[in-house]
Formats: sequence, C-alpha cells, structure tokens
Amino acid sequence: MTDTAVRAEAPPDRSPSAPPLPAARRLPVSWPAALAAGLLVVSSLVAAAVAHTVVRDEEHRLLKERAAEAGLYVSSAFGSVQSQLVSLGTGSLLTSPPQTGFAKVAVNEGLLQSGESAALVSTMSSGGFAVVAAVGPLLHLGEVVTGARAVAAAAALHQPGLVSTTVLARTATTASIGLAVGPPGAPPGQVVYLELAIPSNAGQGTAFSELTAALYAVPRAEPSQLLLTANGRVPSGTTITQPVVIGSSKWLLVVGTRTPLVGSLAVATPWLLFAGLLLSALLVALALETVSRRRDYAVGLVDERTVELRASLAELRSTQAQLVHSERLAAVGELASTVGHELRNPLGVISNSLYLIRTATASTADDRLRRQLATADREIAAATVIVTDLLDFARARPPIIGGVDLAGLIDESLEVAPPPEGVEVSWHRPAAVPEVAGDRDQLRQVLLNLISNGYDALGPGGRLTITVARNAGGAVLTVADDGAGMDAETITHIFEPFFTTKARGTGLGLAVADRIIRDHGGTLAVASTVGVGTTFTISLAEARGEQ
Amino acid sequence: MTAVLVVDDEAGMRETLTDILEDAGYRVSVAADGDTALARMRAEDFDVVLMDIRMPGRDGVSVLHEMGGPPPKVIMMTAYAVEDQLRQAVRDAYAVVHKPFQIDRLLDLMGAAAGGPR
Repeated sequence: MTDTAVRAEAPPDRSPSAPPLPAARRLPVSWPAALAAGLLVVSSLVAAAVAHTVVRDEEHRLLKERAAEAGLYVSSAFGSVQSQLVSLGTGSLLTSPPQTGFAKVAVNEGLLQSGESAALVSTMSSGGFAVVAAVGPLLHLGEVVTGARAVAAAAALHQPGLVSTTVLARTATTASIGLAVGPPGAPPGQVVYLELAIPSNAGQGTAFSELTAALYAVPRAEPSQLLLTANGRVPSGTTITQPVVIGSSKWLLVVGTRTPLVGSLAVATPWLLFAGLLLSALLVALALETVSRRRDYAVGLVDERTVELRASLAELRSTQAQLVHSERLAAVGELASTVGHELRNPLGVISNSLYLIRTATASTADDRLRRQLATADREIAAATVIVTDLLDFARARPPIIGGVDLAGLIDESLEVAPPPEGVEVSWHRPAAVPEVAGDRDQLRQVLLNLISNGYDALGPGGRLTITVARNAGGAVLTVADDGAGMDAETITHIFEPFFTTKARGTGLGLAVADRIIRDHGGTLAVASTVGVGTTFTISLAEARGEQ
Repeated sequence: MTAVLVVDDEAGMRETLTDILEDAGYRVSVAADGDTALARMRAEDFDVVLMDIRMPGRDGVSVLHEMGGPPPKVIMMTAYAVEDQLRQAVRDAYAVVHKPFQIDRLLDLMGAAAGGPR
C-alpha cells in the first residue's frame, strides 16, 4: 500500500536555464607563447655560443698574426745589432793594432750607444777567453771572460750569426744581456761581444700598443730569463707563444692583448645577440600571449553569445508556441462563451420543463418516473458542470468577492448534484462556521467538481464525507471519498488541464478548481492513499464585515 | 397579486417561467427584449423583474440602469456574462442566478424579494 500526500501546487517553474559554460582553461601563459619563448631562448643561447666561437677564433687568428709580426720586429731589431757587431769586428781588422782600431771604430762610427759595452774577446791558449779590446764600463782589457759570457763566446766561434747569453743581470728597470758574433764577422779566433742593458718595459707607443708581450732570452717562458715586457705586464689570458730567432739563439715571445683585436663591438656581439634574442623572445611570448588571450576571450564571448542566442531562439520558439497557444485559447474561449451561453439557456429551459413535469406528475408518478426525472436532473447538472468548467478555463475571470455561507453552498451543491444510486453522502451541517470571502458561483463550481469527482471515484457502497469547520483565519472544507485512491504519479498530474483518468470528463474540473481557489488566496490540497481513499481540503479566509 | 415581469429573449425560458411562476401564484408578464421591458415597466408597476443579462439589442444591465419610477426588485438571470456585466449585475441587482437554476431556490429568492405572492 502506498501512502502519499501531495500538496496541490503549481508545477515547479522550469524556466530554461543556459547550459553552463565549460570551465575556463587558465594557465599562467598559453602553451604557444611558452613554446615560442622557449624556442627563442634556446636559439638565442645557440646564436650567442656560435657568435662567441666565431669572435674567439677571429681574435685568435688576429693575435697569431700580430704575434708573428711582433716576432719579426724583434728579430729585425736584433738583426741591426748583428750588423753593428760585424762592423765593429771588421773595423778592428782594418786598423792596427786591432785593439786600438776596435775602440776607434766603436767611438768614431758611433756604433755604441750609452750604457752599452763592447769588447773583443780572444781565445786563450789555456782555453777560455780574455778581453783584448774594450769600450764601455762593463768590460776591461785583459779580463778573463767567464760564465754565460764565455758560453756565448764559445758558441759564437762555431756558429754563424748572433749568439746571445742568458740574462746576465737585472735591475728594477733593466735586464742585461750579452750578444756575440764570431768569424767571419770577427777576426779569426776572436769574438765581438756586446753587452747591453735592455729596459724591462718597452713598446710604449709602438705599432704594438694594443698587445702585451713578454720576451724571454731562452726558448721557454722562464721567469728568470724574462728580458722585457711590452706595455707593462706579462700577458695573461689568451696568449700566443711565438719563437723568435736571434742569429743562432732561439728566444720566446709571449703575446697577449690589452684590448680585443676584433674590437669591443665584436666581443660584445654574442651578448648583444643573446640579449636581443631574449628580448624578442619576451616580446613574441607577450604578443602570442596577448593574441591567445584575446582569442580565448573572443571564443568565450562567441560561446557565451551562442548560448544566449540558443536560449533566445528557444525562448522565441516557446513564445511563438505560447502565442499560437494563446491565440487558440482565445478562439476556444470565444467559442466556449458562445457555446456556454447557447447551451446553458436550453439546459435552463429543459431544467424548467423537468420541474413542470415533476410538479404535474407529483401525484401520479411511480418510482420509475421519479428515478428518470432524477437522472435527467443529474445529467443536466453534469452537463452544466462541464460547460461551466470549459467557460471558467477558457474565460477565467477574477472572483467577485462576497460573503459566502459554505454550509448553504454545500446544501445547494448536493441538491444540484445528488449522489448516484448506492453512494452515501455524509454531511452534517456544523453549528457555527463563519462566512468566507469568496465568489459564490465560483466556489459552487469548485464544490460541484469535487463532489462529482468523488461520486466518480466511488462504486456502490461508497461514501462521500463532506465537512466544514472553522480554523484560525476562516474555514476549512474537506471532501473525502473512500474509493480506490491515487498513486503518487497520478497525484502529480491531477491539477493539470485535460488530465483525466475517467472515461468521461474534460479533465478541466480540478485545474479550474485549483485556479479558482488560488485566485481566492486560499489553498486546495489533496491527500490520497491507494486502497483507502482521497481527501481534498480547501482553506479559505473569513469574510470581512464590509463584504 | 404580486406582479412579475419576465424578460428573456429565449421563448422557451419565457414560457416555462411563466408556467412555473403562475403555478406559484404570481401574475406574470413577459418581454422578449430590453426595450420592450422598459416600455412595459413604464406602463405598469412590477414587484419583481426576472431579467436575462445577455440579450440582443439592449441588455439586462442596461435596462437595470435605465429603469425609472418606483424600483422593483430585479433578479438577473444569466447563461454567460462577461465579467464587467456580471460585476455590475451583482452590484446593482437584488440577486443574480445562473442558468440552469434550481426552481425551488428561485422561488425562495422571489418570495424574499416580494414578500411572496399576494
């Protein structure tokens, strides 16, 4: 057994709601922008690396060229020293005694510069060398030559060209070195020897001002053999080692740069390239992001507008349908009012005729005639209810409120619609029920609908119970049958127009009753239990004094 | 005898009501339209007028407003009336009954209006 109780209320308003928009995709940046930015950053790194390599190679190549030039410069500088020594040697041969000639040549020809000492050294019978002619402060006549000087002199005897000593002495500003030339530039068995102090800082203002360089008197970069540095410091960083040939001796020139040979712009190029590309990556990402966001916005807008458009279209269709519906309804209403008028008049005449027949046959009528007259009355009442429902539905009008005696109205309704055979009506007029505020005819129509519905739900032996009672604000009226009852599904539809479970009926009765009660500001509720019965309950407000 | 004027454009209604009311002891006159009804009322005094609202030509509500002389009790009858007419009828007439009506109730109403047949 299903127990159901449903309040009669308008069906839930199913206003068309727009489908929800898809949740907005919102990354910090869109993937095309991130991808483009990433690609450009990688490209900028690669480009910077390539540019850096190119610039470094070019710098290296230029440095190598400059180092070779510097080496040649040094070689040629010492080439003049060789010719100076050869001049001394030949000069001494042309004069006699050679010692005198040596000095004379050295002084007269201006072959020596200040601070330089030159000597003619000769092999001694014991081996070793002794000074046989000397000019300058460092070497003295008869002095035995030893150490590095002797090594160089010995080498010069056997090797062509200039032979250098290692660094002999060093002061804060100079390094001394010896240079020797043997025959044929010197007399046989003798060696022309020159010793000079070289300023340890050189090259200022020369064609090599952009270089740093260190010249070693041995073919290795040996600090003790550092002869001079150019432009103030021993090169560091990227350097080129350039062998320098001084006659038979081999020196080493280490060359670096003070300023990039390729130019500061070229050095800055990789960084400029990197920075530029990074900037463009940023700009491209920004542009793409802007475009992407605008696109998203536009797409969102389009989606939104589409949804709105669809909703509008649906609304338009619904409105159109409603319009068609209301036009039809208006036409039906027009027809109904005509039919109502045209039907109720003949019904009224028939009803009057029946009254006259009943009066005329009152003394002679048998049960059968009375029963037929009652049936005719009931059928007229049923037809009247149908016509009135149709009119009320098609031509709803607001209630014309007055004071209504509900008990009297129930009496009247039961007279108009007496119960069919086998159905019992239980109705006890209560002692004191206030008049309610209502439209008597409309409320009568409601009652007739509820009562005839009740009859229809009942078979022989069924009972329709009607009560009316005072409540807080007015009166409560119930119409209850002990029929089959309704299931929940049926209950949800009974107030819909044209819904009916009966073979006969318009399906308008409860829809009209519900509308009328709502127009009265009252409530119409239904409670039904399958197998037990159905109860309709109407609450109405009490009539005010002035009505 | 209590004088009753029955005003209805439907002959069947006029005839049946005449019979019923005469049986009940009233003196019954009839009119088939509003103008005739007005003419009858000017010519004769009625205690009760039983009048249809919707009639061709002058309708019942219009007759109700045009009536002069000593006012009879007017009971309006209607098969269907537009709201405005109905509202005026409810306001200005003694009572409004809807067709088809219960004769017993109508007779009660007439009795109350005219103090019964005399």
